Amino acid sequence: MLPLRGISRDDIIIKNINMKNTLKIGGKELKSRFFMGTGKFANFEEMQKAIIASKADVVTVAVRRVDLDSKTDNILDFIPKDVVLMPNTSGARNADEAVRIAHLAKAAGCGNWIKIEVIPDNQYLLPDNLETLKAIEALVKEDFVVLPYMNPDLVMARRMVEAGAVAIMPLGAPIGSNRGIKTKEIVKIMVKELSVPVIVDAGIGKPSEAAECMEMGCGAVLADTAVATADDSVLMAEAFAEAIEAGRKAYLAGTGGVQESASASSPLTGFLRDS
Amino acid sequence: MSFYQEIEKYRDFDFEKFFASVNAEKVQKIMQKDFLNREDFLVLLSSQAEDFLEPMAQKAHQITKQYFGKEIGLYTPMYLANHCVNQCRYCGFNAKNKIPRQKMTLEEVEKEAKFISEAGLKHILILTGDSRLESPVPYIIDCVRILKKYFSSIAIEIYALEQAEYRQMVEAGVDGLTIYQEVYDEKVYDYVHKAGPKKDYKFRLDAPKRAASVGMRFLNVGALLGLSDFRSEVFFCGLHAKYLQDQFPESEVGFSVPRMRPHEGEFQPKVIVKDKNVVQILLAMRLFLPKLGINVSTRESAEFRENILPLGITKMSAGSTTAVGGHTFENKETEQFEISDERSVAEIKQMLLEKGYQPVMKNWMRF
Amino acid sequence: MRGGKNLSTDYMLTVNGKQTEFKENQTVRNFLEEKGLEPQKVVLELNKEILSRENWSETILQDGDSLEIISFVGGG
Repeated sequence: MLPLRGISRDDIIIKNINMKNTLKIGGKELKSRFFMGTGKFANFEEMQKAIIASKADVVTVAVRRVDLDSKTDNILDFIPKDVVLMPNTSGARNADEAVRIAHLAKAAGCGNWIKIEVIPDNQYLLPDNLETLKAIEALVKEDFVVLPYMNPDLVMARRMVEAGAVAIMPLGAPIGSNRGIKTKEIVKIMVKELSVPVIVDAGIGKPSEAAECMEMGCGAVLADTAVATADDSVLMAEAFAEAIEAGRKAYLAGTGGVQESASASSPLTGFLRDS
Repeated sequence: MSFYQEIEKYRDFDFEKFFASVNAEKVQKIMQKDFLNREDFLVLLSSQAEDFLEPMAQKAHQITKQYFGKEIGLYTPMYLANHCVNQCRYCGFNAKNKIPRQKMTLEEVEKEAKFISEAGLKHILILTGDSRLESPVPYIIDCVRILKKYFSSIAIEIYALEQAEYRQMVEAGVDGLTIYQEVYDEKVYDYVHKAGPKKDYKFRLDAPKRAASVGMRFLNVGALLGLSDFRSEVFFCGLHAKYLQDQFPESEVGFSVPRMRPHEGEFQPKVIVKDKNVVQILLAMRLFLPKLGINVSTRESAEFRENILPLGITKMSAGSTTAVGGHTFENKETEQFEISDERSVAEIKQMLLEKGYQPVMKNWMRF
Repeated sequence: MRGGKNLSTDYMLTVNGKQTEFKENQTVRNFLEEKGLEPQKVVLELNKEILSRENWSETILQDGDSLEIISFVGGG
């Protein structure tokens, strides 16, 4: 590195970013703001490479019955040991089922993080905010670190935070749809109003969309399908990681606003005379 | 949590130093933002931002149209009594001022209400001086019961009450509370409120909170401009409004820009707040809090009120008098302050229509 | 006892929704090993109650028990 009047380029960048850049959730300091999903990968080897390339600190998994007839490898063997494992409650159709799944996940001995996901609707895979709230209330009492997946709604999100959710995970578009952040206006309001990180989950199809979320001030982005189903999932994981970092930096830097078109209306302050 | 804790955070804040650091670039940047934070708001209140009043006005006008349309709510004040035990140096009702003291009987209240409502007004703001002896809560509630027959929304601007008393008011049919802190600077507050129960800064500061927590629907805050440096005063008033909006999303928060008027008594404004300053205050407030109701009273002149209409105003008083029984008493006595815009309700309505605004007499009805 | 099945020595339990045989006095741990499952990779629910790992060796399966064997899979 060429010294720049005694300071290296890295010094400047790292100093600038470190100050405000750690994401703290459930007492853990996370360096990466990319949360990786593990579904839909072609195989575990590829998934493992993608996780490593993503530099993600938080990785989601689901909880399922073991298939006794066809032996498969265990996914945990392919997930780096230093990441936070965040089991989700997918498959739950109501609060009770979500709580049951959370208990099973905790019994596996991989920490106390849980992403609550309650989906009674199989057509669009849209979550049930009310049952999700009930599950939060139950699990917070049992010292889970609770991150709810939800349909963006400020009032409900506030209730979830009151109930003890440590972050709120609104959907950008329906799960697996790769449509991008269609709920932008509401998510923006949530970022502004909520006291906990807002993590966009579901619907993010491209790195540019993940960057957009981060530019808006979201705390993190969770992506799965977009990475897992790319032709080269490892390269895509890396692309997402860079986009998320770039978006975060842009947010910290403070984006220069878009110049609004010149206003042609008559002056509104012409009546003020210098006095 | 009391709003006082928010104020405390700025105990050691150097406003002068902050204002000195503002430059044109900073102001321009803020003009591009969708949401303003506290710091942005303070930048817009700086003297440097005065060079940007026109672009601020254009944006404020857009935002106001977006959130409120082209409607202006009309209301009128009604002074029930002027007995007062406080010695506020800036006020015509100061206990030491030798003015005739009056209090309307319930019959007189009914007569005045009938008269006012005939002009079509449906929102009323009732006021008393600060005297729990002469204008006790039960008296005010009796008045409210009569006024309910004539008005769809009743707001009170009286001495600060306990929470249980606010509950009584709400149950009686009061849906709005106007209570100005007058001045947020605690030292100045202590000085200008020479004696009387109003001296209790914190009790007054939390009055809107107490009222909102028992269901008061409309809250109106304000700082009396002229008592202290207006830039920091309006800053705190804006934070107060935001605090109430955040704490009580079900209530609607409004803000007023009362500028000191000549009045009986020796104390005249310490700071002269010019038209330009009022405009800047309105604009900064609107840009900081897009959904805030902004009221302008008849303290301001007809011309000035018309000029600032597009800048973010959502409510104005009309056909006002600040004397007890001002509409129907044979002998009108001392006014609290002088009215500048003396036009009738009909004239104000006409003016609004000509300017492309819809005068709204009633946009709320209690259940 | 299951009707039609002839063996009085057969014991049946439901594993992940499927009827499965087990041996008399068989412990949970032994049953898992027989099925080729690595104990540290799964979680068990016996009759809807989570059965913690330290109890697997001493818990004897009973006829008609319902056992859920669960593990982590990929998910977002």
